[in-house]
Amino acid sequence: MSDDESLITPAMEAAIGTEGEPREVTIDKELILRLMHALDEDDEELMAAVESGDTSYPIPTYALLTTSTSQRQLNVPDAPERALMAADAWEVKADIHLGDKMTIVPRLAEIQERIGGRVGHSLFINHEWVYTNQDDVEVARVRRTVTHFQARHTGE
Amino acid sequence: MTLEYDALSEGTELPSEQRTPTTDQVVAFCNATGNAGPQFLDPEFAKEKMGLPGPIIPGNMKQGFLDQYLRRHFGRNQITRLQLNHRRPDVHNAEMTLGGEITRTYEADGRRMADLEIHIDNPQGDRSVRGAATIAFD
Repeated sequence: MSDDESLITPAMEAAIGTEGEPREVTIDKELILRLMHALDEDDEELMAAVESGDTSYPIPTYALLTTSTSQRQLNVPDAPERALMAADAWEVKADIHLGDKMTIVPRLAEIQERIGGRVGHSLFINHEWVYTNQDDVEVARVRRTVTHFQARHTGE
Repeated sequence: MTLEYDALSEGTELPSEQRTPTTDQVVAFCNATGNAGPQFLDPEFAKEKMGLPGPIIPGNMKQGFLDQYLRRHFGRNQITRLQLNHRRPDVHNAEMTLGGEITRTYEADGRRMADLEIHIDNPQGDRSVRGAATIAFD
């Protein structure tokens, strides 16, 4: 494929704006503790609240990272296999607590094409997830841009 | 020490902080988040297939570090926005320097807010992550 030829196929274009099936996930104490360990968390008040299972204590937004397996990206037809995360944006609207039951709705928000840069001709695919809690409150809106590319990364 | 809204103005710099995520930490992070892409854990895949210098730190792990960094400085005040652009990969066992600077203070919807520029630099001094955040003060 030449650089002049668009990587955005008709199937890809048709997928823009589609929503996936909602998924439900509970903010799990054990996963939060494991994540805090991985991040070397040193906030003693937070650690004590999580270890005691305090469901009223607001926990960090990074707790949403433990829902990654339910925050699957929608399949994008024809996207090049090589991919790296290019950007992340979290908009947080309400507190998050242990035991919260979140409904996550994924959406393929946008696809942009770029020629040049560290990975050559590439696609920037924007995925979005809306998190709503058990009280039907929108807690967060997460947008991720993933670069899909054909050439190898320059390593820089 | 928690920074108070009244002490902030455009140009206020946050103290920088160093983090050096080890391979064990990356493995623990991938286990906790279910995010086990081979580019994070498999040296051969990272180098041969992806052309990376080695297994890299997951972008959302760096997001976690920046979330933590902001809470260290702003305590229980709410981080309402966290945006990151991943400009360069960071590899395991290499020091990352986290930093930030206030770009605006204002009131919106009855809340006092501060916008920041945030970043991560690699050991060569190159910016691997450039981002922005908003803090809403109680």
